[in-house]
Amino acid sequence: MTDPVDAFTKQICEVIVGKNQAVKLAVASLLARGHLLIEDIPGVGKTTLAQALARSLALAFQRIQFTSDLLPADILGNSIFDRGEQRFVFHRGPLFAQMVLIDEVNRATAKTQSALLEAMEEHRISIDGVTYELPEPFFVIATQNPQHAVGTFPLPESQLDRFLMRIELGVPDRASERAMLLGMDRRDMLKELKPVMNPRTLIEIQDNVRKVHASPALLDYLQDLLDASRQRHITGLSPRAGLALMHASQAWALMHGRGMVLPEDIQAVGIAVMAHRLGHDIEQPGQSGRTLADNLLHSVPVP
Amino acid sequence: MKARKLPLIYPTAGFAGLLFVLGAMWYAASSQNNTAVYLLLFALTAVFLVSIPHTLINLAGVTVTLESAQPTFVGQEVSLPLEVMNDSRATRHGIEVALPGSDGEHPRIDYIPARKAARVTLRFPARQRGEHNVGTLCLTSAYPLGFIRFLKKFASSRTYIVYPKPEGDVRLPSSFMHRREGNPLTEPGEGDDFAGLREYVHGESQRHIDWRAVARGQPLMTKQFAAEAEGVLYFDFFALRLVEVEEKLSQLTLWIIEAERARRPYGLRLPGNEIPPAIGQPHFHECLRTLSLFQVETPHTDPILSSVRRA
Amino acid sequence: MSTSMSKSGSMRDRSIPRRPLLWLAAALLFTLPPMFGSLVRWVPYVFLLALAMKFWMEPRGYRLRFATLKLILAAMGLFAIFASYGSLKGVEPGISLLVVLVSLKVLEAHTAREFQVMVLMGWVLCLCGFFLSQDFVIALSLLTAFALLLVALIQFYRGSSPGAFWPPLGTTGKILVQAAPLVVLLFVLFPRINTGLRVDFRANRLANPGFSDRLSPGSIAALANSSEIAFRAEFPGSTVTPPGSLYWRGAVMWNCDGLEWRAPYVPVSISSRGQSSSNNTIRQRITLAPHGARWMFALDRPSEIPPGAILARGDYLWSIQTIRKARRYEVVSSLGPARKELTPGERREALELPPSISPAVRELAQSWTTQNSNPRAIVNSALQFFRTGFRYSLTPGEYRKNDLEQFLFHRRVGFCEHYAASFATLMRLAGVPARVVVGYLGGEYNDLGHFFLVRQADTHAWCEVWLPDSGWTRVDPTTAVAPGRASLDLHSFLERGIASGQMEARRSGFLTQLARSRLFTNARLALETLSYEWDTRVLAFDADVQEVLLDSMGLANRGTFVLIIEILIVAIALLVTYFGWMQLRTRSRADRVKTSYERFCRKAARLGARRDPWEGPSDFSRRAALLLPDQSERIRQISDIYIALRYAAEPASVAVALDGFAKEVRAFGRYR
Repeated sequence: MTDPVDAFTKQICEVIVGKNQAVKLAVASLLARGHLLIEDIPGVGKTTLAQALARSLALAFQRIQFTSDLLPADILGNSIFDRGEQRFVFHRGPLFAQMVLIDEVNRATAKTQSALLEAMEEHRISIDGVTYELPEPFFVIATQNPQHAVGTFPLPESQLDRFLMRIELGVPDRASERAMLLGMDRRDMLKELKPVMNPRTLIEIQDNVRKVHASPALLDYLQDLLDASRQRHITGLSPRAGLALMHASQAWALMHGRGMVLPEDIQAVGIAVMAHRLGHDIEQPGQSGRTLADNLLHSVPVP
Repeated sequence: MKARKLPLIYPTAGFAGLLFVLGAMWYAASSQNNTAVYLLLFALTAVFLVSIPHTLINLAGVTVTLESAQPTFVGQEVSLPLEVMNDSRATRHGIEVALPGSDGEHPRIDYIPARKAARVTLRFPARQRGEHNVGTLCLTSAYPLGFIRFLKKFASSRTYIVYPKPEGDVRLPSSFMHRREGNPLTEPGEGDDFAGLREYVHGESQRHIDWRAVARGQPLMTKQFAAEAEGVLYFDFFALRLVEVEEKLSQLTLWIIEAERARRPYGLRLPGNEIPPAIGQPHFHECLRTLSLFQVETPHTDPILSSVRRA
Repeated sequence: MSTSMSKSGSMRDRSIPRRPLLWLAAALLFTLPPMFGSLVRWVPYVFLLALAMKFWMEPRGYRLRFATLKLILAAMGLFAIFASYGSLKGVEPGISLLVVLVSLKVLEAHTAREFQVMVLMGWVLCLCGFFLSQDFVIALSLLTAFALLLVALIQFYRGSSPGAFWPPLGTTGKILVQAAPLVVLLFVLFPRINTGLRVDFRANRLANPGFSDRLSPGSIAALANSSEIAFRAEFPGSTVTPPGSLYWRGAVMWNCDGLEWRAPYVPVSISSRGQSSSNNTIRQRITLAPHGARWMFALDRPSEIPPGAILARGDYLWSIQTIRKARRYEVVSSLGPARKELTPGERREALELPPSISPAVRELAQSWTTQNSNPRAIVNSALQFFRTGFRYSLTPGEYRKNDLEQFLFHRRVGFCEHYAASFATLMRLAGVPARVVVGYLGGEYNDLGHFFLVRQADTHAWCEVWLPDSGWTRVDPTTAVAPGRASLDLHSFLERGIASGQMEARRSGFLTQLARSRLFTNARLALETLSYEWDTRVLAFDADVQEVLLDSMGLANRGTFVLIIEILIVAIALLVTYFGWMQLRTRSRADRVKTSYERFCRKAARLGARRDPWEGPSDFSRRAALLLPDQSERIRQISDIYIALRYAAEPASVAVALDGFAKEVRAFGRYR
């Protein structure tokens, strides 16, 4: 069961050199049925990562570039009157894909953003009273530039919660960058990628992730973390954040061939899951969510 | 919450009665050389002694977790929701939760099955504004015989916030634009134009209550005048012509509640702190929190509580 | 889970729930039996009435509220008691008063604390019950009440917890079982300090001597229906019962007054020398029920005197002190011939006659003497006389003490005392020294306990005559009349009598059937055995016996205080053991795993690898293995087991893994 996951992770790592941890987190997010937010400067390989993931899984892939004039209908689709049939026909938007890459999600207006996030949460779209199911598996990777960039609409706090993880790719280290410079063109590499898993296997693995055992002791630790966050910060981790932490760590445990979750799994995914949910603390401005999450993980004792 | 190391055992009132009965039995047995009474005496003594470990074990594996408390106003009741968890493999009986030094109710939990939790709420009157440490929580149990009580202490770092008591007679200031120049703010006059009725807020002046409506059997309503029905409000600590700091804080608290209820944006100015006008629950609570923490040092512990902890 | 709010913890304003109240009522009912036996009738009924009213009042919220009303009721009770007893002093009036007050308290009580008070009062009632009676059945009832009070209290503190019957009983049972060793320890070893404040409340209660120093017509027949126990006898050292009829010698009567005989008020002590000449002796262990007099019993006839007793003239035992509590003694009886000499004084006394003997009776005695002057022949003639025309009956009708003639020649119906008295009188008339012996005959053998149970109904009287060749010789004229009586106890004899239609006493068929059924008999025997054990092992264990026991254990010279301290230490050790055991049984598995792992972490820290509190087990395992390369294998192993036990879904054999884990942790760090 883990073999395809291993092969899959390995293949992605070959494309995205020197970012093993970020790649693994991305895979974990995918396996946990969560959506991924990548926050980083342009040109570090966000798109490449998304494409590599899609190709290796043989998923239907769509890419949407968000701009300030993008309307919800542009991504969801719209109904157009068909003269021949004398009725409205729904034309599906680019969101109807198994893997969707949203580039620069914070460039669109709040309206478009919330349309997207609602679809992400519900896995379905309602237009004109008709509900359209999104395909399975459905995985959204959104990228955004750091908040201070000009002309952006930062995602509201409540909606950041919809992303299971937020990761940063960052500039590769010197050796990796050199390897990248010397190696094959990424674009060619992507073309040569062979699918290692079909979507059905992926759904099976996603189901298995939920079955990874979380013992009472582990749940104690998880709740201690949530509790500590709520005590220290006015906007502590929500119950949804708790679920996210649990699912992500289950995926992480499965990726490491374990049938049970360990505190280490929570710690491994902890920053990616918690940082963007803790970044809005009024009491401790100037402290990034990352630091806060890190503080939590390094102060709450493992029971 | 971590349990304190030393458990406390103390006798209950019933223990005196037991001692008396044991004494009577002993006297009767020894004066009559009555073997059967001796047997009764020793049986009762032994049963009492054996009940001690039973009482001790009744709290073993039982822990208490405080959940976050809703803020309250002075004069109202603080309610601390908490969860008593039984981690052991046996049912626990008759556990009481107490907060030393508070004179509220002691919730009693009749039983908690193995590996289950019970939720109770600890209620006691809020006496002083500010942020308070819960400090030490006690679980006590006298099960099974009630002659001795066993007490287990839990230290908590949880705090709860108490807002100042909303009261005062000063009318809501009329709207004006906040002037950065800092001209002394004039005491706002009252508008003359009757603008409608709104619900009476407990603690506010009774001058404008629509008594005629009350006489008709309607709830308490306050007449609202045109002056307060529009615009942004700015509540200024310095502008209030009241002597006592607490009085001022109470008045400000009342105003904030009124403004929030009237859905009018309001700002707050305190010495060394200023909150720009806004509206909504987060803003409301931020303002009240600022008021309650005004001139109060960091989390403040009840003197009684700290004495308990020292003991 | 149910929670209830209460002010400052003491449940002050909760009314008493129904379930504990039911248990309490049941418990209080069990305190009643001794009261019915000993107190004025209305007192226990008042108590019952109060209990019943409580059940009617409690759900309706009614209470005995007003102080004046309470006072009036209490005063009424006091007056009624005074009226019934004529005094307020003494045990019975005192206990009656207490019962009345408890009844009032039951009506008045309505809060939690008062429930505890009621339970405590229940225990006081148990105490009072033991004052009134210590019989086994009563004790059983009172101890049941004791336990039920415990159940009531526990049920009360359980509040609304599910289960109103078995769970509180189970908890009570557990507590009682755990308390049992402690009770034994305290009972056996705890010094019975004598307060020196001894008040004999009980003197007036023990008017139960069975027989008196006077044998008058009807005095024994009056006891024939009493099933009260006189004593129990064991034969230590021999499992077989002694051969022949069991004549238990109680007292010897010298003073003749026709049909009435009397024993001396203060018997003359004689020495036992020369008594045990025969080797045909038998040892008995007698447990005597308190009877308030000084009789002691032994098989005919005692030769070795137990301590605290004298051998009185006439060869019977006489206690130096009045027997107010159950007494146990060992005595040796000689079944062989008695002493041969008769002093002239004794001879004179044994021939003394009252002047009021009628001529017809004198003539009868004379006729035997003239026939044959050999005393043995005279005895035979007399027995022959009784064999014809006399009837043995429990209800012979009224005789006055000088109705000898009436009995011998006209009515000819009598019970053993009539035969013994008249026979002895006739012997004296005929010039044969004679005396009357009273005691018991037979007894019921208990197969389970291997003892004889002798009841008051077995009281018997027989004669002894002086024969020159054999000394004092037992002659039982009753056997001449009713030949089967001597080999059976009275009840069996009476039953046989019914079968042969001789006896006029008839009982209803069903009861007879029941009484004869095997089950009933066995149950009765078992109860008697238990009762015997209760008397001999529990009740008899008083301060004196304890002293002997402590002496034999070498604890006597230890000093009371030291002994108490030692008992306390043992008790505390026992309690700690219980606590540990209960903790082990109820502590969650996770807890045990955790404790072991914490121990491992402490050991590792001592060796130089300290776990950060937030460090997960596998991270720590990796780091510790690097820090302590020589222990790495073991660290990995322990961590793996720990992870499996704590984080995995239920492993197959938890207990084994858990024990193994604890063992690994113990072994860790031992070898470097």
